[in-house]
Amino acid sequence: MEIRDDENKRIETVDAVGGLKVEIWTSDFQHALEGHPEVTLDRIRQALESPGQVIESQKSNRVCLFYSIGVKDREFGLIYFCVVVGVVRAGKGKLETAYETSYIKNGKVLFKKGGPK
Amino acid sequence: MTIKYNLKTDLMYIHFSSGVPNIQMKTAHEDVSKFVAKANKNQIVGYEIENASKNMDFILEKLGLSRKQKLAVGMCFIRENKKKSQKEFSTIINVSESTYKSIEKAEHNIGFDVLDIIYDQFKKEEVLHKIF
Repeated sequence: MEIRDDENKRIETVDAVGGLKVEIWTSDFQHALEGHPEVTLDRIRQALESPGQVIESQKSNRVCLFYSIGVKDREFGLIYFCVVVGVVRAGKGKLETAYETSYIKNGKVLFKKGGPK
Repeated sequence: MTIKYNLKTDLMYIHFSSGVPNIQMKTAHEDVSKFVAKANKNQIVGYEIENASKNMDFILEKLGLSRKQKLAVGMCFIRENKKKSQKEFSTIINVSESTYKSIEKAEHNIGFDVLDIIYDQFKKEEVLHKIF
């Protein structure tokens, strides 16, 4: 499915941990899905609402990375589901993409499940 | 091939194939991570590049992209920097919207006439000079 520029629509807004409202748009979700077939809306919602860790990217401007709790994998070690969110303005973000990853990036820890910031 | 570039975050995503389950891994370059197929770690499915504007030389020279793929990266990068849609860019270089989209997917065998138009329209864009 190809989405034209004028057909880009908001799918939903997720209330992420920390009070950030994250918009999910069709073009971004489609891109995530094409590149990473393991991505689902449910997994995105879950990582945003109940992440294991949230990291403020050291490298990219205004980007927060929402990581799920790691799951053990024989081949890759711990695997995390990561949702990349661009912060549009205070309290508002937008899904950039999502994928599975074998590591958590360096950056300021904004949230850690079961632990202090 | 699909490319996504966000000017605000300076993140670029390049995927060579779709539908292949994959996982992100580190590379030796701290701004670049790779996506490898879960079924075969040696198969690189795509890349995530942070600080893409600063790393454009690396993208064009070190990721093993073909000329057509480099042009796709360059056009997407220029278009997003100019905050234009694919439809608007198709008008600028005088091709159909679907042809333009196929250029950004590196699926289009571009003719010399279109290349001339691209060069003429974007002659000040350094990224194009690095491609050809």
